[in-house]
Amino acid sequence: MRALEVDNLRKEFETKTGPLFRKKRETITAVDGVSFAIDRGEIFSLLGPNGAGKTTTIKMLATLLIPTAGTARVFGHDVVREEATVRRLMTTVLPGERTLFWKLTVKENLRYFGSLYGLTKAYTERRIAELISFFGMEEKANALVERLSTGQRQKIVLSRALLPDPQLILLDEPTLGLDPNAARQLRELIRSVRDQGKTVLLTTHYMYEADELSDRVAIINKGRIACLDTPDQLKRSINAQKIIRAETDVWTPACSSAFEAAFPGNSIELEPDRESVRLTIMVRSGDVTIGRLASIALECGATIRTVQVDEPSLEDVFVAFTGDRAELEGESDEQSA
Amino acid sequence: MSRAHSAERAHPITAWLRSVWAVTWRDVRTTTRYKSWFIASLIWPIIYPFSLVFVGRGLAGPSGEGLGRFAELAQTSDYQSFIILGSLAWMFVNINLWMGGLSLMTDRTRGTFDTHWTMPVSKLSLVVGATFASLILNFVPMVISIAFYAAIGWLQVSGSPIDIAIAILLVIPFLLGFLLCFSAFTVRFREAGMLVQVMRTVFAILCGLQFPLAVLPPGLQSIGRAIPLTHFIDVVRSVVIQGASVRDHSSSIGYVAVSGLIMIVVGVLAFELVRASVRRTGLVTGY
Repeated sequence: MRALEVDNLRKEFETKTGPLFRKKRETITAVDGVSFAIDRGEIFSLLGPNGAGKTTTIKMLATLLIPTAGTARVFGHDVVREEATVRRLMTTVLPGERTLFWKLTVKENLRYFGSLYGLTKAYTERRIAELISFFGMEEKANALVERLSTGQRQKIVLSRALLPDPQLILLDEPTLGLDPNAARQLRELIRSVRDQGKTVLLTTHYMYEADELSDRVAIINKGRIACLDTPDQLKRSINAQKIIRAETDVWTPACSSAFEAAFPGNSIELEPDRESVRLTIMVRSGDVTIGRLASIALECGATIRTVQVDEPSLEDVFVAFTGDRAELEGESDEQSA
Repeated sequence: MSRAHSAERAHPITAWLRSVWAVTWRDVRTTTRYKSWFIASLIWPIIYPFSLVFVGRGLAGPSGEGLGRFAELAQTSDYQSFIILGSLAWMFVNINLWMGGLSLMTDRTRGTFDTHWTMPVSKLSLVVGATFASLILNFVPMVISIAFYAAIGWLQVSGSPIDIAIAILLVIPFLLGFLLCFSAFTVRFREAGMLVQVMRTVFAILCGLQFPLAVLPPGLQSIGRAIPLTHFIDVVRSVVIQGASVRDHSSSIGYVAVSGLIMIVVGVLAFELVRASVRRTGLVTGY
């Protein structure tokens, strides 16, 4: 039996827009027929920009929202019809550090949530001791949560999710708002959680995070899954040996024609800015070198200002499958430290 | 971290009781960690009834000639005890609305609402626990107020404390049912701060908390008589001021108890219906 099976999941929200007394009903489809399955012990990422439908999907799986259509099963249990069983098999970590009680200590928070998970007192105490030791929080066990750093709070949030020894953990944007160091530590912790035999479903809009952590990734955009595979396989699927990114002062149609003649079978993507043009070249065949590219640019009156050669990234995969780089502007690299 | 064990879960009834207690303890602990709460709890129950007693004195005329008319309407000449007990009842309603009724709204603004709603705990226990916390925290200002006004001779406590406790215990089911309905409203509409102001004023007027019910127009009196809180304050006043027993008010006590049970059923149904509805519409999330 698989840890999670999602079949054609869909969520529509009704909204009213327009002036008072003349409001019109509008249906917004946040998730549009999402299907995927996760095996036990796997870290699976739902990757996509803000508003792609990741959080709505997680909220349906977490039994917070009822799907408009489709089904989702956690270890064979339907998230709508068997919500109580599902909530015992799975825990959810929603974004933000305000999911704890800041005026309670670390231990008081964990005891409180242990009671809400329906755990026995003896088990809760034993488990709290284990988790505090596992996360190296012994010195902070009796400190008020308001006195902890953001990274420490995130450890307590994760401890809370691990209290009932769940088989599946849903993590919605777990590193959102963390500094790069705390984010890196948290990623290590997520891996160690998986090493305990847990299955992890993670949503993120950080490409680097999905790439580094996940066994498999589903890229979600506009409520639909654009592609799904292992990060390596996804990168291979765009059929590019390397990616050349360059910035020039201009790029004329003559430049494009010269490029196509020199490097047949390779695609170039242009992003004009006010004072420059950004080029992304997916090198699929032949020998596209920086030297030859610079010569072509010179011949057509362009000057290359910067250039870098990369391995294909998940961002390139995202762009290849959705054709929308703008969606990811500013989101991909800030957590990659 | 050991992997040798799996989670040990309590019996469902034990788990429910523990979750209620956990929420109660959480709110009591959190509130009492603010020093300002202690200061406010000391001052508010003392100063609030003062203003109403002085309003009463002002309306009684220079030599208190209006007090005779008051005694006719209120069935007691002890206007100070009458007003102080009414003020305490109003404070009781007020704190319970803020702490119990708005508990899920507070949960939203705090950021813990969604987490609670993805957990196996019964969502009813979140409201019940918060209401018990407000009852416990209510107890302190009530005792301070009663002790103060008894000490300065403005409140004559003639009745048995056990009878007073019975009356208070019997009104709790009504209070819980009402607060469940109120919480359902806050989950559905998300903002209810203004409704608290409306409800506490409606109760103050219709239940005769700060004046004799007989001054209201007959229509409003009938509505007021249908509210269990009106019977509760009548019984408490009779027990405290006149030294009556709760047995002397068996019909009022019976009405409070039965309507309380009905209110609980209505509250649970309203809450569960709203819970299902907001999960479908998406109103459960967001602010």
